Amino acid sequence: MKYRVMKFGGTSVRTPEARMQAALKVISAREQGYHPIVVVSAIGRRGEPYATDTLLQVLGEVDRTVDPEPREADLMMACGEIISAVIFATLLKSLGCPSISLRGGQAGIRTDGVYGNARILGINPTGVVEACKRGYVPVVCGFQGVWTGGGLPGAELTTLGRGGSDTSASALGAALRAESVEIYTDVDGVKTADPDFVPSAPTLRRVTYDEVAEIAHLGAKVLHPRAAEIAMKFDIPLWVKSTFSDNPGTEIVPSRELPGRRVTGVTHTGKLVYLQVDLNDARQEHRRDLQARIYEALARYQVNVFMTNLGPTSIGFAVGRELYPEVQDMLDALVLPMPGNEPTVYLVQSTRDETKAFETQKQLLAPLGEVRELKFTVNEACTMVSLVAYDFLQQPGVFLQVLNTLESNGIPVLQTNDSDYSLSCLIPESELRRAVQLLHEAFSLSLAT
Amino acid sequence: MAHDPTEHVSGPFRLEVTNTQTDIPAPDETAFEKGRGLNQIEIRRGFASARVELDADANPSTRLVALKALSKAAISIDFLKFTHDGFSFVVAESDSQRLIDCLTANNYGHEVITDRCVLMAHAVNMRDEEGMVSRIVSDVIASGVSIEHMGEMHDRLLMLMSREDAEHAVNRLRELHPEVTA
Repeated sequence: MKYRVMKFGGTSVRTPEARMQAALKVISAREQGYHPIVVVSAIGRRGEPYATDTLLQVLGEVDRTVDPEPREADLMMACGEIISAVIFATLLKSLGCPSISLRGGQAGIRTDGVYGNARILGINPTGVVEACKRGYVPVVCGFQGVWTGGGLPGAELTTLGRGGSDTSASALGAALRAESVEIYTDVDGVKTADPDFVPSAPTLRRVTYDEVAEIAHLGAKVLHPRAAEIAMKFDIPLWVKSTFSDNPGTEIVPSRELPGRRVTGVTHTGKLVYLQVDLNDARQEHRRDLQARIYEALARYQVNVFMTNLGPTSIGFAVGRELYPEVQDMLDALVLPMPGNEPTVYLVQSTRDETKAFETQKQLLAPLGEVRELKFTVNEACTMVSLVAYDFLQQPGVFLQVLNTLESNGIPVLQTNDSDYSLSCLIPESELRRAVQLLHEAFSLSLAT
Repeated sequence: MAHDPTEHVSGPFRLEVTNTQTDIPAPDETAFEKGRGLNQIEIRRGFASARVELDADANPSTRLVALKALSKAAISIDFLKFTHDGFSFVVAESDSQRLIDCLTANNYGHEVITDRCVLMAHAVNMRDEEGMVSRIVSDVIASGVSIEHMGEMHDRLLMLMSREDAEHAVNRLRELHPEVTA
């Protein structure tokens, strides 16, 4: 049997008109002799009635002082995909295409027991296969699976975390040995830059799994890295296409199929806060321990960090703006005692001005011996712009070209971070649009294919 | 008799799975996703780290001039980091003498240290695993290792350190995460 997995994201199922476009794509695939397996996300985005965030908000409003149990949150969130799948299956039926909606568990998706961010352990696609054999188009609820270890009768519903519907589609494609997995969205494929910033940004015909995973890692919402990883592992052809056009889209391929040096695109993250502390005021013998303690605190509070920068005398990292109040709260007045021949207590200040907590701690600690202050400098209004490339960044002069492009146009670069596939610059948030446009032009990305 | 796919369209659907013999692998035969957290450690050898001194109050164009000199000498750099008194970066160890010659010729105060390694800690989907990057960094530093530079990509952390430290860090991470491959 020739299977084609077709995943439709929130914007593709948002309105009756969008759903009709999506349904016609499914019917067309069927007419071409494929067994389409549809995977759907919840309808719409934040603020719309059945979107995942809206459902979570409703749950949160029960009592703002009580965090919902992760299990209950998963059940609530999963309703969005269930509504979407039922509506889509009914639409297909109305168009004369027999269809059946399946929850993730009914599609055979078995996960571990981590609510809210479950990993797929295995898939038994028997139900999906049987539905296809009987002429039905299965419409599978994306983003969800089941965990069988919960102790209650029946299986526990789990959700797969961010980008979960992409992961569902890719994993189903792998389990079915599908001819292809197609991720439908509201853009024509993977672009060389955010089209809101660079309207003329071309769509790439082909990119590698690693490039698209890096693009997603650095902020673009094209395809989730987990989906790319599964497709790469099982060698399943993966496409990113538009629901609203017949353009061919972007094919995601293994590196061996796309050799050659190239710049792939420019991407950017959301709003960041960059925190940096100079350890020159700390005793030499304490510096490494202080670094470990600060990262230990960040790990304990499960803080996601960007732009990690660690040197013999400094620590720097960025966090998402929405996380900053929590990070500030965690770090401010943090007491780090260092034992040794000359015991010293370090007191962390994470705000520009001393807070009451910091002042109080300082007074309380004073009788205990030497108290040294570690003061973070905080840049609250920055963001990250990144150049993604393949076999290119190691060329002499690339850093220079990136920095020169930005700084000669008056955009200060506060820090950089690089890897095999990307070179990122921390810049003032106010300059983001211009930075993306300048880099796109400087690296001739309008000519990319 | 051929099945009529429309027979259930107007009535309740009952999918009876009678034939479980498919050409699809049984569920437990396929490991779809790698587990959470660290799953592989790797060492790349043959690097040198460099630090270039600039006036603390130098403007960014001074930095660009220094980078231009490196570019002119066809020296490829990685892990560029700005510091309050200059910048630091990493080069292939085989370029270290050319780097020293270039910096000396251009009168930049500098320090170049050879025999550096990049320890790569692989972990899928790091961005969505809250606290994972911090945990790995914290574990490595707590093992007594000095991380000199860092970089990251979607599935790995890159940490520059001395060869001895890299070997020590690998052993420590394997103790903490016996499931990882090295």
